[in-house]
Amino acid sequence: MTEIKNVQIELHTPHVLNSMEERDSKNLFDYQYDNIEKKGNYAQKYQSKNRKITSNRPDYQLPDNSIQTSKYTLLNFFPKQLFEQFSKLANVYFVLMGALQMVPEVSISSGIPTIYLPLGFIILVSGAKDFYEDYKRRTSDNEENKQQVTAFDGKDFVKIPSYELRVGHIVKVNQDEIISADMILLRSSEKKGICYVETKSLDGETNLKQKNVHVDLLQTFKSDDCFGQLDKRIILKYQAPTPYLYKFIGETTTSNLQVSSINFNNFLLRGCNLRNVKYVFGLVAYTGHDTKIMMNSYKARTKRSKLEVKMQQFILIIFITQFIMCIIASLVYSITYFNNRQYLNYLYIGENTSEYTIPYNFFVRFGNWMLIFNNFVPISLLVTLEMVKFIQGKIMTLDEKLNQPRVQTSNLNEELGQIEHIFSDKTGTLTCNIMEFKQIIIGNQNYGDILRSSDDYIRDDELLNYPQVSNVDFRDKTLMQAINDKNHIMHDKVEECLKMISICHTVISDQKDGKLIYNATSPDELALLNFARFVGFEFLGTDENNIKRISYQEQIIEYQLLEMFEFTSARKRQSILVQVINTGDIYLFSKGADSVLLDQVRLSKEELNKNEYHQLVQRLQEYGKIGLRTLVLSKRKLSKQEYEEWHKRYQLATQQIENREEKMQVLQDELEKNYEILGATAIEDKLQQDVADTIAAVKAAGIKVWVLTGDKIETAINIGYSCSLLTNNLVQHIVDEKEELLINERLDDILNKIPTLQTTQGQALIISGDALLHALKPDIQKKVAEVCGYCEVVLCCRVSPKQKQDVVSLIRGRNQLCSTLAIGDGANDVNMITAAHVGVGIRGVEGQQAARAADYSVQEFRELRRLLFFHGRECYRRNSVLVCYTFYKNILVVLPQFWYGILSMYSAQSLYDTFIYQLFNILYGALPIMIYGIFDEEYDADQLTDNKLQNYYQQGPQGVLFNIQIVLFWVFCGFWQAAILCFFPTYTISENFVENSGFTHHLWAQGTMIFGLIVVICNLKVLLFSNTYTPALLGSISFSMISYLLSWIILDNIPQAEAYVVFQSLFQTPNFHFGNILVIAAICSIDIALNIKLNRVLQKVNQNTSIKTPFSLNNLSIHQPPKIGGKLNNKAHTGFAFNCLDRDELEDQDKIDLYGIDNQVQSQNG
Amino acid sequence: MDSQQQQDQKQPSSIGQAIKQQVLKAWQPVPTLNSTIILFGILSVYFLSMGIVLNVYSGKINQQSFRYDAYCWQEQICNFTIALDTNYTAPIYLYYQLDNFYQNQRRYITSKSVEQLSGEKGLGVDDLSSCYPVITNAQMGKTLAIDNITRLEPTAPAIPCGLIAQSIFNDTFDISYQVSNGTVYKVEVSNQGIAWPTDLELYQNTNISQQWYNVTDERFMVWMRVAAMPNFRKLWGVINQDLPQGLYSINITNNYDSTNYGGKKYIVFSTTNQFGGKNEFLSVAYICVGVASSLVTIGFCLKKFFSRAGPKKF
Repeated sequence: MTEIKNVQIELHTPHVLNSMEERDSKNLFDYQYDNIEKKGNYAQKYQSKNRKITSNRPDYQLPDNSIQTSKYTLLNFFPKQLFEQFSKLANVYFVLMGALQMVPEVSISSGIPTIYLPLGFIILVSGAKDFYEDYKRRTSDNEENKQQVTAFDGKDFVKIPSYELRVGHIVKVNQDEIISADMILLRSSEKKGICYVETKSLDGETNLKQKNVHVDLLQTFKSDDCFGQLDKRIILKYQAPTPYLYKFIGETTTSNLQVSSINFNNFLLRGCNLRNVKYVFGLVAYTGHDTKIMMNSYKARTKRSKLEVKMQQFILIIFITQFIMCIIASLVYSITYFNNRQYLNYLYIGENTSEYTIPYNFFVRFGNWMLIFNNFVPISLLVTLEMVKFIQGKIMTLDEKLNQPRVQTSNLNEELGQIEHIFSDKTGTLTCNIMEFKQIIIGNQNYGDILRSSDDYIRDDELLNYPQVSNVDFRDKTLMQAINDKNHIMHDKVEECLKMISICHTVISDQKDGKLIYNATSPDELALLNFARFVGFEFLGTDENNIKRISYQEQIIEYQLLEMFEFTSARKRQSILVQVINTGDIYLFSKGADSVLLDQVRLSKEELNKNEYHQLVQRLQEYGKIGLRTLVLSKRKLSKQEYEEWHKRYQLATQQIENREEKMQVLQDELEKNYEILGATAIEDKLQQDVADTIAAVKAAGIKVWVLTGDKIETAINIGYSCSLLTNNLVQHIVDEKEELLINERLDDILNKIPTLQTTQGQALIISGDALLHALKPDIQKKVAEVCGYCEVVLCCRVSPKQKQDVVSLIRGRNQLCSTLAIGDGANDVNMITAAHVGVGIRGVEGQQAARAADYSVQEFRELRRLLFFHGRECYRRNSVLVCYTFYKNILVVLPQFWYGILSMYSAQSLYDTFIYQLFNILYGALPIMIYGIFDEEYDADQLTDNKLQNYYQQGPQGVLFNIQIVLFWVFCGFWQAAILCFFPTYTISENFVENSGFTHHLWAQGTMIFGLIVVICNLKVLLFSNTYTPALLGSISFSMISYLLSWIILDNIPQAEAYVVFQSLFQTPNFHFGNILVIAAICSIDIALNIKLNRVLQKVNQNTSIKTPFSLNNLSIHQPPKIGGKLNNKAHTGFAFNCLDRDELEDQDKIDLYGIDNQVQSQNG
Repeated sequence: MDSQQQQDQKQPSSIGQAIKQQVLKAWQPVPTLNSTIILFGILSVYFLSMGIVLNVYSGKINQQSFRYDAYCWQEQICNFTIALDTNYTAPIYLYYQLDNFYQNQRRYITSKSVEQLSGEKGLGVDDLSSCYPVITNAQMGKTLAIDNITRLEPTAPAIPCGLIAQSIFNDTFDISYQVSNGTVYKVEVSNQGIAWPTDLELYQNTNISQQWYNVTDERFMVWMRVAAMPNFRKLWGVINQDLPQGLYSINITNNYDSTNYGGKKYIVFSTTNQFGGKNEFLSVAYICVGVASSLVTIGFCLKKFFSRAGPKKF
């Protein structure tokens, strides 16, 4: 890759120089590529040089289009893996211990580094796991690299694999294909040079973005087969690669020396999907890792669960304990030796040798003791835990009640059981990102609110008689009756209203396979227009002369489009000025927020039909309460003179250079008055299945839920209502100020107000992204955090990806112990997902970006419930026990030797055969706990998922299963059991002879008996705390014990071993068996008693944490609008929301994004 | 929804299927008051009865030990008289007991060569590093071989080498029985059959003429089996005749200097049964565990009786 090839200039088409002009252009194109700054081997990594390329002349110096996200190659796997393994402190420690084992004075294993046996095994296992995971990444890289693209080879368009693509290639992209490199647009199959792209994999937005060919290029490339012609060559100068998603600066020079500047609007990004045009041609500008999407791709930092972090601390404590115990033991020895040296002549230590002195003895014994203790720090814990989690993850993916979840970071399984905060994205996560038209109010009539049992309900089979449209869920026949029956009392009003809906919008129509297709930038408008089509008002399109046509009852009505007043978040309305061609009448149609339009009605409120007006407002409030998005429709009729007079002034204003926008706005406002209200629409931002249920359950379990969305405040509030996060009983604090001072005041205000409110009342904070930007500054941050602490619900609106991340970090920073989970589906959630303790991605409509960055990915939000309450909770429980047990197990195997020191003057004599000792953690005590970790179930999966009988989940967030007390309990168990294990066998078989033939046993017999008992006790202990005895568990326990027996059968026949034939002789000794029964019974019965006590304590914790009563969810049904009653503290919510391309917002967004990326760049540098 | 429920009710057909539905066949142990009572009841019955059996058996064994280091302090050969309280029936095992002798010292235990002891020939000083610090004859302090004629090369490896061999117990006992009329019968003490049969197979002489000790001597094998405790007994011989109650005189060749280790020396007579020698610990421990678990059983029974509740889950 790093090899720099010679510059290759390939001009494919032979040509003859003719005119002066061509000579110039010849010089123009006659240059050497110099796009790479040569800085040694890093040439390709630091490309700070601006680039100059020629179309159809690939620059082979620049990197190709391949991407590599895998960590290893076949060649570097071994060294890199080795380096990685030994950057783990534990492994280095064990290597050092092995080295110590080879020092003859210190070794307790006659110089053989036996610890390398388990260490090697462990490294092998984790290496294999790494290999497997990297292999998966490699395969997916390969898949992407080998994707076929259509590129121009000088003569023809040929298919080449994606990785062969170079800067300078001209590429053809067909409809719905994914763009494979960043490129500038040269030509589109559409005449005006327009194309649409879907950028969901980049920023998570699903609405189409329009891109266009630069006007000059449109002139240059007039046909699809002109790319080979020499005079069509262009030179492109542009920036070096940058990570800014919304920036591109460049200029093209055509062969006739025409220079035109290219910007972001002419630029296609890798990863986007081409939509709505048959094909486009582009000139590749950035490839591979230089593309915007790759430069923004996040190198996943390794996340560690809280349990693991704590575990590391405990391991450190254990190591310190070991150190201290070894010091004590060796001190005791060296001092005792020195005091009794005249009685230890049989040790043959000369008085003048160094061995005679206290310091020497101390250090040698210390080394001995460290080696005896080397199993104290659990060597197998990390790898056991890793393997268990890996399999836990695999089992999660197999769960049939989840829809093929993916587990990317099985490290975090137990963290799923400790979540206290959930940060959720809205679009695509809570909602399906589908707008469905639900109801319409016309005059004082409400259509669409109909029961399934009603006669007027359009049944599924009847639905086939209506136009087949998407985004509409409207089953009310009464509206059809009003349309079809000319004498119907509502006929005129309905007709007018529906005509208005089908004309007042910015949708572009298109023909595809003879079908009419709408291209909308706003999903709301699409739903409205499809609804109009559904009931018979079909918008046909706008022609070149700005004539809009609709077909209605087999006649075509034409409207001349006069003006269009765009929607902005400040105006909260969109208006269209049209003239009916047949009659010449001029109308202004507006749709927008009730707060704006209802204030501008023609008649004063008193004069209004009170009933009608009230009904409308009340209806809107009802819609708002169940989370429907409402728009008020209104019209104003203008006389010709009125229009013409206004038009002149407006024309003038549009030609102004200074303050043009403002002047236009004033004139627009002048018209947007004196409305006649036509009606209102209600669109449902469709929630995913069981979202409200899930949120309620999650909240009931004591988890705080925050919704972070890029949407506007109104939309967010709407969704808050529809998924029961918000109710009218919650006090809403809205912070959407833009200046720091005002925000500060507002927060102070809220903080002052909170104590005065009733304690029973919940609070909700709704904060906008702009406010957040300031609120996240250190001095205000504290106040925000404080307010958040009071609030049950927090909605953050209009937040950029970076801000989402900041919010998560705010909570993480405020409370170190609190675990956060972020769930989202779009690329805009990636920051948040990676910042949170656990990131969950939803593999939905918006592509795989989030799912790829996430630790876990699911199909739907509701799966979170099972993931947390069942898998998370159980993994937390199992893994906690696994860690504690591993501590215990190692204490149990090491400490008898320490206790034995009392009888041996702490001379560091090991009791066990050295190989058997090292096999303990691989063979005799490893498998059952792994099986436990994988299969044990405390309660039924569905009962846990339900979490209603008890709050089973709460033990995780409270951390009751893994804390210092619990670990100390296990350590304590290890200490006393080790004491019993040491002394009982000693006094059983070593105090006197126990053979009827008078033979005495030796030290190794005693050690063997102790070790055998340790194996048995360890394995029985697993049975003691297991909740379920699976065949696998019983099998694994048998395996452990049998493998122990088998290894003795082997070892018994090796004369060199210390414990040669010991086992055989032990088995013939009756007291050996009596002693075994005694020890097992004594330890187990005390242990059972202690365990019962412990379980009681733990169950009390479970019972003390009651569940908050989940609220009724019935009121969610659209067909049964809840009655408005009770005390409303806020002005009742009316549910206005509208999504569309908003110029102001786009600009804002770019600002916000720059802020985000700047920070990223800084952190990358830093 | 219905179909899903049906699926749930279906028995998992294979393990894979069971895992997929997250339902594995398993038995769930639930400790109840009843099962606890039964468990502890069984334990207490077993331990109490076994404890009594062990105690009775242990009580049947005759065992007496006599300290002699105080009598034979400096004399090379000393004689003292002991009295056996009861009649001992054959076989009677004769032990020596050393107190405060730490055979379990790291430095001590490792100091031997299994290869050498199993008769491997041609082992040089370098091959016997495990015998450190006593490898050569000079270090062993031996100049003559067993026959007391052959001179041993000081720099040649000692056979056997190592600390254990070097510190071998070498007192000898001659026991004679005094009948009341003054007649003295010599008591035969056999040194055969005192080592583990496996040791007999393992221990081989390398070259008896170059050895300072006979490795195949069973007393040597007994000594080489290091004791776990600082006070230990080792089998010295077997008396294959009954010893009636009465006085016995013992002639001791006092070679082993107890001041070297600051401890005591005993001679022990013991008979045996299926469970070996006297073992107070095991029977006491059994009875203690039995008593403790019967207390627990009684406690739970009372609880059950007073609460009158059915099976209660913990």
